[in-house]
Amino acid sequence: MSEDLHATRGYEVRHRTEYTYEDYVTASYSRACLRPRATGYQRVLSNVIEVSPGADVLTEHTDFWGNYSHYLEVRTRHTVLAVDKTSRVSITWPRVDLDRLNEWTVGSAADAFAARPDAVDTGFLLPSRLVALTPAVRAYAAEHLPRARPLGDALAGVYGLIYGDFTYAKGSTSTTTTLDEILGEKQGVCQDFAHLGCGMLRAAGLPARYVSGYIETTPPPGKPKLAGSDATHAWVSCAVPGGDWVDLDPTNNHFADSRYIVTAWGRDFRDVSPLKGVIFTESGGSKLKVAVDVIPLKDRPAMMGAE
Amino acid sequence: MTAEPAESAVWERYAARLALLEQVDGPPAPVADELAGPTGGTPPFELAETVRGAIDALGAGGLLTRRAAVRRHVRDDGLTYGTTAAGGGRWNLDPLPVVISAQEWSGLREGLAQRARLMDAILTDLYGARRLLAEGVVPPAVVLGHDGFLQVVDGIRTAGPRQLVLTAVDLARAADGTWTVLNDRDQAPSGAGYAMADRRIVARTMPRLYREAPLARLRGFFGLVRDALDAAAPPGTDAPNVVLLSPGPDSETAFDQAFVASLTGLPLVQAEDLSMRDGKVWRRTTGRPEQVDVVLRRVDAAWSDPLDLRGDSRLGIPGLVEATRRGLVSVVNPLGTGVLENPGLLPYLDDACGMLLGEPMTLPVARTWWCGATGAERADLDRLAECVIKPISREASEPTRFGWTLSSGELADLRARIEAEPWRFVVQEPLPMSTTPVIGSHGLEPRRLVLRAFGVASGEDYRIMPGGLGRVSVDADSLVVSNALGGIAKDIWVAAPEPEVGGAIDLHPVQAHLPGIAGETLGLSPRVADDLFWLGRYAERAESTARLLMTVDDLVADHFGRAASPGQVAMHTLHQALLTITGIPATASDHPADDLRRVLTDESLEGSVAASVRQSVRAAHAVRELLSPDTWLVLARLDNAIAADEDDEPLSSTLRQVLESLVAFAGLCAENTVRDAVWSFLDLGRRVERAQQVTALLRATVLDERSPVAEGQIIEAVLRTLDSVITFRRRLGARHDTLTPFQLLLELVVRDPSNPRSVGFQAERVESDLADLGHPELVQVAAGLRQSVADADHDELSGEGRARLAEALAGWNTDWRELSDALTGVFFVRKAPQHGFSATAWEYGEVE
Repeated sequence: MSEDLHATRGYEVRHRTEYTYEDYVTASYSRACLRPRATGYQRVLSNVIEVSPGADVLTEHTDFWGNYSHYLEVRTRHTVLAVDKTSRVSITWPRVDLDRLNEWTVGSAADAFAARPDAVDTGFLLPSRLVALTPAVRAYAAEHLPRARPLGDALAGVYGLIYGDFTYAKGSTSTTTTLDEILGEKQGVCQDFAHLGCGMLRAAGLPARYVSGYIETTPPPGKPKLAGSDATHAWVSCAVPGGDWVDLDPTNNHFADSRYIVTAWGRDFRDVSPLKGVIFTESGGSKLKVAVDVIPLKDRPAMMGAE
Repeated sequence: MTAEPAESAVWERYAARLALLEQVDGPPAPVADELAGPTGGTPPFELAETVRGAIDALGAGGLLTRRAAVRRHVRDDGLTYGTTAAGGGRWNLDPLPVVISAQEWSGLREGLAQRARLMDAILTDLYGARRLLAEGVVPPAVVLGHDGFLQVVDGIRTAGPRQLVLTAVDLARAADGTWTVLNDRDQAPSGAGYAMADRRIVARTMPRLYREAPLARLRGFFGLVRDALDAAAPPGTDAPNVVLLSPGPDSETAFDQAFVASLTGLPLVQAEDLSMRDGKVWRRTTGRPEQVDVVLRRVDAAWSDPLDLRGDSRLGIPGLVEATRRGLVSVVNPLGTGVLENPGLLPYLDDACGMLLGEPMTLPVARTWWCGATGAERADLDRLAECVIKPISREASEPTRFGWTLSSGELADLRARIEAEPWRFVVQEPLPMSTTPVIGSHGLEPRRLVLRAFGVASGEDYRIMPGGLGRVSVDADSLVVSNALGGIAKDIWVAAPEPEVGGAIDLHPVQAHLPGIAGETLGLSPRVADDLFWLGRYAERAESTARLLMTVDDLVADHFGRAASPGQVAMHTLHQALLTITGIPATASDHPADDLRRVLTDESLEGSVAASVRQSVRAAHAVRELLSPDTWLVLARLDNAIAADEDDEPLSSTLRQVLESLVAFAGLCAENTVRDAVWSFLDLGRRVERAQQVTALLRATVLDERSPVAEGQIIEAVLRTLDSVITFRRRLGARHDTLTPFQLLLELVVRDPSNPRSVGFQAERVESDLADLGHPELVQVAAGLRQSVADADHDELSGEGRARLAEALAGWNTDWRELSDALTGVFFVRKAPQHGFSATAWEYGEVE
């Protein structure tokens, strides 16, 4: 296929999260990422947030990592809480210049970061709760990211290695799965692969962050795309000398391109959880329904210019 | 005359022990003794001389007496450390003060005030511009790798002149004798309350010394704390509503929290008492919620907000971080202050002081190396055996280690861990510290001293408490000072430059400092009201059970083993009644005395006196800041009486002591409690319980008709249990009407509203308590109850084989239970259970 994945693309992302409880919830407090951040490659054209029942408080601020973070307070008694986000974005994500990256090695790049520790990015070198740099992670990194390896090849090697060595297995892991468990089981989902990629790169001395967002998917040949069939996605972004970051996707075995829509980034999933919260209720259980649609705007180019 | 040589021997022996310390292997020898001075000879200054004079005058025997007196005061004041459930929760305090000269203190005070300004500036910078990191003054990994640095509070500024409101610093003496910083303890400083409580006890124990010593006083510090809290309120708040947020009565420093709440006049609240509404914090009360402007936080930051911080916490309020970000509430010290407790900062403070304050740092810091540093600042890992090794974050799995106590294998392990993650550790040169004498069983013993000094933001600067919390090592050779390991506290006396007048307020009992806690302006939280109610109920249950036990014990003493005695029936009936009412099954033993002892002392049996006492104590601890300080004295006696019971002692003597204490407690409640909501709930508990106990006793004893002799004895036993015998006899003698003894019993213990033990009396009191609480609907319910008791007719109740009586008693029993439930539903409403959730759906497959 000769389609240019690095040309400008436009998307509308619809993301609905719906909780159904067995009993009334009297108060609900949530933290969420409900507006995609702007990046060097991504413009946010519009963003609409809807909460049902209506929120008593809905605030937005920019967090430590530069993401938009939302606080939601719902005190209307309810059994169903629904949060809808509709974002339109325009993305022009250039191709990674491997030759330039290969002018560095893993070791020379790590030394460059160690020599001039940055006030924020140093945080992406240290272990975090879901990216623990255990002996197993260090050993795995040392084996596959030797200091002498050219940097560009090393980054491509990280996604290739995880893609090849690990099985994508829905439901095999949770939001608290550790890297040692993933290394042991050799399976997981995008979140786990992103954590593992971060762990390997950090162990090698390269700042790596966890990126949360979406990706455009295409249905199997001959089948129509189903509504709500997309999902949130996660991948890795690695700092390279000179101030740039390179995004790589171990789940799909390539670098990021214009089909990748960024919501937020942090040290690991915990920093950028799409929606989490605390409720007060006698209810013993709840049902969660998430529906995501990533709709290309290519058929409606007029909307792309709209601010 | 003969005592003279022995007394000077106390000091000589101490000097000899000090000399021995110089020869110890391992940690550095102490640099000086606080009382003996560097040479062990002359006291360093006048106040020290005065204290030494007092020690000489007391002699070995006098010192031991003082030690015992302090222990008694600690117990009577309810001074605890650690959880009461764990048992060993008593605070250890030595009677001998540590003295510091006015001159030395003035230098230290300046140094501490500067350190407070520096820490405030660092806190402001790290959650703001982060110049310290950007300009390379502090390596970023020191801060970003510390678990006290909370990214979620980045950019939040608390109102008021300072971000850091309260400070605490642990100090010890360095090799040159100067006070030197060991640790900063600014996250949620604890110990100022203990320092004040220590002072009061030492002052009472050494009254003459205390009177004659020209001392700086501590009490004023707490006024400054209150002012500082008010000053931290969001702008535009007048008369800010301030609360002290506690993890609860089971927290280690619960005493300190409650005492500080008393000293500053703040309501002591738990997460359960607060709620989040419209992004603001509200205090729940039995009436209207009240908006909270300032939270003095004693819950660790990580546990303060289950939404943005630890999701498994039940000690915090979801949304608290957001409320502080929006400036709708101020949290003191701010969430995120824990970053200042990072020993990894210590090597960089000098430069930070130069950059942020533009002046050199005056207070020295223990020599520290951050292991993540490179180049000239690199830590020398070959010297681990001589050093103290600490993780930068406090972690349970990685305690502070003293190099000289480790084997070579342990040192090698530690070194490997440091080399794998150097940024996680610091290496610190040990301070030699000073010693101070504590009273041991065999004279004075030297212990190494750590001084915790407290500061508070005041206007544009900081004020330092003139004194502090002294703590000493567990033994002379150890540098470990830890309350958890049974360390001993010392009162710190700072010599005042000039004698002060009017300082006697230090001696005032605690309740003098309870302004308005329970006053009209502040409602009680449902949790507190609930605990007060149950304190009343359990205390009354313990008392009723003890009284019934007394009656049964007497009957057993008179009639057990005399098969022919007519008292047998009464004995069996009352014995059975005791088991029925308490719900405790009979033992296999033939002798009823075994049952009785169980009912009195077996804490594991719900319904026993011991269990009710324990529940009372638990409830009392949960509301300790609202109770008279004498409460602890009475409760301590009560505990002791039960604990001291021995199998071969007569039960009656233990019982009498228990009952005395319970009566004293009832008296204390009646005489020392202001008639506000605190009283209303305490009294409601007592009345509801007593009414149920009386009905239960009647149901278990007088429903069966018996021979006149047996009935007479049972009636007497019931009357004795209800302390109504004397009135009964007087009335029976004076009566000219036709009431039978049985009818008179009913008149006296059911209807008579003038008998404090009657059901009718309880109904009247409940009605009046509810009227005071301003709840008309419940007043109606209570009035109905009172009327139904007042309408009871003796003739009718004593006839028909007592079927009518059985029916009436059963009805009242139900009525009272329903009343108790209604109180729970109206006043003691708890929040619905808290749950966390996190929405993820990794449904994503591969793309082509």
